[in-house]
Amino acid sequence: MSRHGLPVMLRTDGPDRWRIEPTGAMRVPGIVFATEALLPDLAADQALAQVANVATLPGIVEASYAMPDVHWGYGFPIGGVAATDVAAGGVVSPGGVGFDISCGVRLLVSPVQADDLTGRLDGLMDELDRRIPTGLGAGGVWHLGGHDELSALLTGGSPYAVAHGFGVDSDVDRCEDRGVLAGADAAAVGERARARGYGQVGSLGSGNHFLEVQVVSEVIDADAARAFGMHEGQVCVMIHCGSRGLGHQICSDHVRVMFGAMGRLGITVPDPQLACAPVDSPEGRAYLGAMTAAANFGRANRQVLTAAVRDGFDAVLGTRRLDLLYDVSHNLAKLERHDVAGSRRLLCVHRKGATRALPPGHPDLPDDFSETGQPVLVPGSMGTASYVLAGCQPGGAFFSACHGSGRAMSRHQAARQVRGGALRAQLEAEGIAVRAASARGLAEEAPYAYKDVDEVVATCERTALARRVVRLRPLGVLKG
Amino acid sequence: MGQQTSAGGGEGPRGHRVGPHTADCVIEAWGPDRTACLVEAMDALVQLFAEIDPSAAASRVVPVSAGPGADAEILVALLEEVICTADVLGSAPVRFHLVETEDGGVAGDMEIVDRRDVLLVGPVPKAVSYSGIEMGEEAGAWHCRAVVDV
Repeated sequence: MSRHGLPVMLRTDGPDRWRIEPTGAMRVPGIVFATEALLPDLAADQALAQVANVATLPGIVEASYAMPDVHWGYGFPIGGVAATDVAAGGVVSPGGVGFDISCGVRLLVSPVQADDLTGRLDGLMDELDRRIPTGLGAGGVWHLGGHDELSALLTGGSPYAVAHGFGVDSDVDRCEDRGVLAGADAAAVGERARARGYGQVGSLGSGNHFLEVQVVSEVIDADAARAFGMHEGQVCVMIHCGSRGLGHQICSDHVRVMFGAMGRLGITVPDPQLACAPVDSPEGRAYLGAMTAAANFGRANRQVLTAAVRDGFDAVLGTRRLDLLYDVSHNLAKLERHDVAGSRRLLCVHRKGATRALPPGHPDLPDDFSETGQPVLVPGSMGTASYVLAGCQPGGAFFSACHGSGRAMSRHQAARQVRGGALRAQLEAEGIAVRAASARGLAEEAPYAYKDVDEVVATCERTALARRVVRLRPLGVLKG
Repeated sequence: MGQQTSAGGGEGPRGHRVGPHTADCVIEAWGPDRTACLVEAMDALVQLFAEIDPSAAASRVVPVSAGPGADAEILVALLEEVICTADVLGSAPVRFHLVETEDGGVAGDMEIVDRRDVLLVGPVPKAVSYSGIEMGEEAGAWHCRAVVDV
């Protein structure tokens, strides 16, 4: 196995929109939503070659899309969206979901104002740091009772966690898919994946995952913000994490199986991490069953962390009232119906580092959001802003939008520019309380390692992928 | 490139280094034979996230084996053993021992230290990508490269 890639010829295709014409084995064009400044560097970053590679997948329709925060992943770019036509032999690719299945974001909104935290922010961050497991060997908040309980969680998702005391019923109403995806096959989750996930229910992990205490710093769309229960000065909590070791192992296991099966299936791909199988095949069905189980694990994980955050707020501020605005994944493949070339088709929509963004009036929206569109949660990097967007018409890329600000600098480059201790001091000087499991992990996630999140979300708005509702800035950061 | 460790300094007959990738990390390792190269790669993976006194006593020894199969698949399997150790045991290996097996695979063990002997210095690796993975022999020297998801 060696490095592969298709040559990339990029041309403008309208404002903030670029096109890679199909060449070689590409079945559809590549479409990139980005300003010139946001485009990945063709010389140093293979993200656009990966957009072209994805366009070779069997059954792909319309285009291989890239969001404004696109950057170099493996197989798929991070910030990639691709849909395949199930009835036409369309494939599912574990690499199109990513290792961290159902990695996603949830936002809790509180009745606390930023002024209320004066003199109490450090105490709150210490309490959250004590209650939220991060880093190596930290375990999870919820100690499961055994194999059967893990299986029940893999099929039950967030509602299962709520039923066991980790949340309130109304939380479920504010989750994508009401917190649980149907079709999970716990039996398709291997023993190693189970072993890795068993002790991690209710844990943050490390890397780019975080928990932030934030304040609404700007209301951009007052009507939508009101509908979301948000106002300027309000304290919120953003949780960004996924399905931990369990999801990663499922991805690894099924990439291996599909890579071995592609010869028999008559499929060739330009990168081994694009290994795939038809949705309607034993390999495809096994992956989707296991992926769905991991998605439910990821959602339950964020739900359990929510309960820990409420306990922390109660202990320090005397309130548990942190209402869930929304919980949405940005690493997932879902079977959805979309219009393609004038006909309604069942598609397998891969969003890898991209967020579903349903527009107002979409039948899959809960009543609360039918007029506003779906909340799209966009975490920035610590020290900069995060955003709540909303899906809008006409949308694009099968109703998808960005998932973050997108890396512009490698972990090593970032860590070479500043030491973790210095970065922490710099952030503290800006009034941001930092708790981190490792100093280098903190430095690798330095704000300047990322693209400009303001430009990313503005590009989403100009290209009608989603519109801005509120901007948030961090007050406290907890990093794994 | 990033940090480098080589026997005898410079790019010696065996060693490893960790380098940049936009969202993740790349490890490279080399050695005079396949098992030396694989041990160096496992060492590199640990170096990404843990600092351990090389003389720290093992609290347990875990057997490992991989293959027979393609060299790159053996590399992935062994790196996954380290990753799983971190997740399941909540600690890290400090020493590796590998030998070739008659069927073309490799087998040996990892000496795991107590969590208290590990200084966490970076994000814990979670998976190995098949993109860009390399392992092979050229002119009597083995070399490997893998992108690691953190």
